[in-house]
Amino acid sequence: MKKIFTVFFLVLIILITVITRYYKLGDIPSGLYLDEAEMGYNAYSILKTGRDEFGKPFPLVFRSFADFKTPVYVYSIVPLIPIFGLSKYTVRFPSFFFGVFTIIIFYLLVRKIAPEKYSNSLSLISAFLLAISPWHILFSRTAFECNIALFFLASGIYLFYKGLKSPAFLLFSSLFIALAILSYHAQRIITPLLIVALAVKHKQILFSKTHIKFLLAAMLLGFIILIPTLSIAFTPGFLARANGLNIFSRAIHVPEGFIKNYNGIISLFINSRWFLGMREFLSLYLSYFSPRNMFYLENFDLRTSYPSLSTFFLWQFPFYIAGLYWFIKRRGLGELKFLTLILLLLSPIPAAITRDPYSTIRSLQMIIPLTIIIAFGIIEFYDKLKNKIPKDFFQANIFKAALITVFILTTSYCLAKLFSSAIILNEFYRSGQWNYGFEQVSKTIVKLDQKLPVIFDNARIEPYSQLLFFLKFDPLTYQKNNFEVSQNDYYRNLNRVKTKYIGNIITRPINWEMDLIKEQYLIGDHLAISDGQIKDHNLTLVSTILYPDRSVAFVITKTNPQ
Amino acid sequence: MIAKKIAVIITIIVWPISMLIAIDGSDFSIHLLTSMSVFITYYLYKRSYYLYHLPLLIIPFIDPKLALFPLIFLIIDLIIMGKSKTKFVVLLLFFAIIAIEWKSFSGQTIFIPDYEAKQEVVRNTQLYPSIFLARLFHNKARIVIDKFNNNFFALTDLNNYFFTFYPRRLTGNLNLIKYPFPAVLFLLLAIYGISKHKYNKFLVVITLSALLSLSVLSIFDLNDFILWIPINLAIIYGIKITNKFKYSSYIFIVYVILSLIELARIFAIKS
Repeated sequence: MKKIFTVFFLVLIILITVITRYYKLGDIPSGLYLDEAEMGYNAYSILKTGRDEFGKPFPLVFRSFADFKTPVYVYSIVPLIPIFGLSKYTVRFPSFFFGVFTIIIFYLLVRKIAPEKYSNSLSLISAFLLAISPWHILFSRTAFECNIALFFLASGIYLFYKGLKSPAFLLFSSLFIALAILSYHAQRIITPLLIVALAVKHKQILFSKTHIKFLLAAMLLGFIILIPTLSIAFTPGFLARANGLNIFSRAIHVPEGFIKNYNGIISLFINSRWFLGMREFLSLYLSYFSPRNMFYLENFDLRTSYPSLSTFFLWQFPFYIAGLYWFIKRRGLGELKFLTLILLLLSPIPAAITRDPYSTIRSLQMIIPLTIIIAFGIIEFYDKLKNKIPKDFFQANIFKAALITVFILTTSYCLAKLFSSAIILNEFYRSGQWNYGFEQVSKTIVKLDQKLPVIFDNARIEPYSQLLFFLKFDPLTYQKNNFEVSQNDYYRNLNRVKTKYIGNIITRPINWEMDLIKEQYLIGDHLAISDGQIKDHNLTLVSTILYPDRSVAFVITKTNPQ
Repeated sequence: MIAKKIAVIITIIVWPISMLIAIDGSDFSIHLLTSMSVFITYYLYKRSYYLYHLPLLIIPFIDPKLALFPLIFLIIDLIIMGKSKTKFVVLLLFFAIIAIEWKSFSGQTIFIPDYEAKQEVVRNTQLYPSIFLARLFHNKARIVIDKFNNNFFALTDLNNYFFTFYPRRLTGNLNLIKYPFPAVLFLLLAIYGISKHKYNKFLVVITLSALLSLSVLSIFDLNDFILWIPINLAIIYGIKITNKFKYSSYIFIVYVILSLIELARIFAIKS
């Protein structure tokens, strides 16, 4: 009976996982964010030419907007293009695919490390909570590298634990751990620390006669996979993200709390970098445990959370607080406690050394321990409640019926809330953040007079990757007509060339003096080409692309030099 | 141990100093008086005085915005610490006081009509394919609940007390330095060991009632000074736990140094 229930519940969880992540996968968000377009087009370029947009053959990290994207996501799109074509759906599919498998791996992981008393219930409830998690759903419906990194990390940990019994699994664990490091910047910090912690905890088994050969082989395998990446580890390109974002970077960041124009005698102390840096890091670190950020506020970066939803549902708040308290206090949780707490403490580190408040992208791995803690809180609460129910048959059945009702109502509420926030409100209010409009602009450009040049204003936006993507522009022609850096400087030179040539399209800021002399099309957002400018410069309005809330996304105009 | 005593003193004085510098002296005295009545209540409770609630009676008269505080305190007290005839009599008295102060209190709560929020509800309702779904997530009750949640989660955010609300500051809030930031570790330690605290029930009751009564205010800034005593008590308890550690004196010395810098910053910001 218990087995049938487990299988039924597991099927239900997978069903919910697939529905919440697959429903309108390629259509909502209807915009395509520039990073998504960039990854998609580079995958297309690799497929067609074996080179990225800058002509670099099979890069180890993708130069992109000189932010150097990790390669795994881009390469995972490549084999999908011949099957599904170059589309939003294709770009988001790897995230969906790995997102679904993350739930399964997460279930297996919790089942493996939890004590027998909790094994079944905790693994099922944890997997269920992850299946309905707004945080995980958002990243599984859109192209984010952090989401596939989460899959590799969870798989690597699970296989590590399997490897403690059957050492051959250590090789697979090493493979997945290495892929996690290659998948996302934040993993470069967390994964090595986690592996060291796990290795120290299980040193007796790992260094035993049965395991040592496999351990060495696994380390060698991991090292070999990472060699190409390690070879560029000290180039400016590889370090670009770390240097550009971290709070300790002197060149670009004034520490929080720095008192300007204060020259008193104790200035040395109150404005000291070590004091302010430590304070800022701790404040950012602590914010990742704050119920306010987890259950109430939407994200600072509007693209990384849904409207009216935080990273967790509000009803989970009491279970988080109680669960955390009980989890820390409870003895005998063994490996479950160790892994959960070590992941909980390590996960915010890469996010806390960057300026952004509560970055759900960089701290995504935190979803594993937090979900376990909330699930633990629910189980403990249920146990306490159960002890108070008389063991009479009739009352026990009423209790069960009440529980099933609560479960159905909660699930229905969560799914309705997700539909409301992710599908309706996000589409209406956040389409701008998701760079809505480029698909429509591209469709219009194709219909314009191809003999005339098109100037696409890029003073505030970076439109070229979306244009390349939606026009499915020939990568070879693009590589020939555009030059940013030589092959040798690919990872070293961070300077960018912002003017791009895409057939008859040029992306650069509009120059009102020069551009009006020639007959051509001018495209820009409503700030670049306002109603007043259309009138003053005697432009012909060709088309206006509107956001779902009816505000102007793009304006397409034609000059009239005569 | 001198370092421990200095640690306790610095912890206590930062918030009032910060507040005194930021606001008018007479306003400060109002907030100080309310906190003092909480302290006297705690003192009487410690002394097992059965009418320990009485000092809270004056709070609605000092600051009508906190009129609900004594009432909520007594209700939670009844639930957690047990019933007694005296408590019911005091409860009636609190109800009477609220009735007196109702006019000045009610205009400063989250229940006052919000035209803009209502318009937003109407606008959002039109986006949904089903009116049931729209009404489930966008209704007038939701406006009040959202405001309550906004306050409640801000008040339970540790960054509010130890990091001037950084990195997600509240607009329209003074975002004062309230405690030296390393004191957060003592507070966490105290929460961990709260079950062994002699007066843990009192601490839970006073904290919960303060959080709930502040959450119904339209602006809780400065009134949250009512939490000064319970947070102090918790941090001092954390310091006591730390005192049992082997190298506690070194911990306190580092804490005092960092706290002195934090204290100096309050004056530097003012200058």
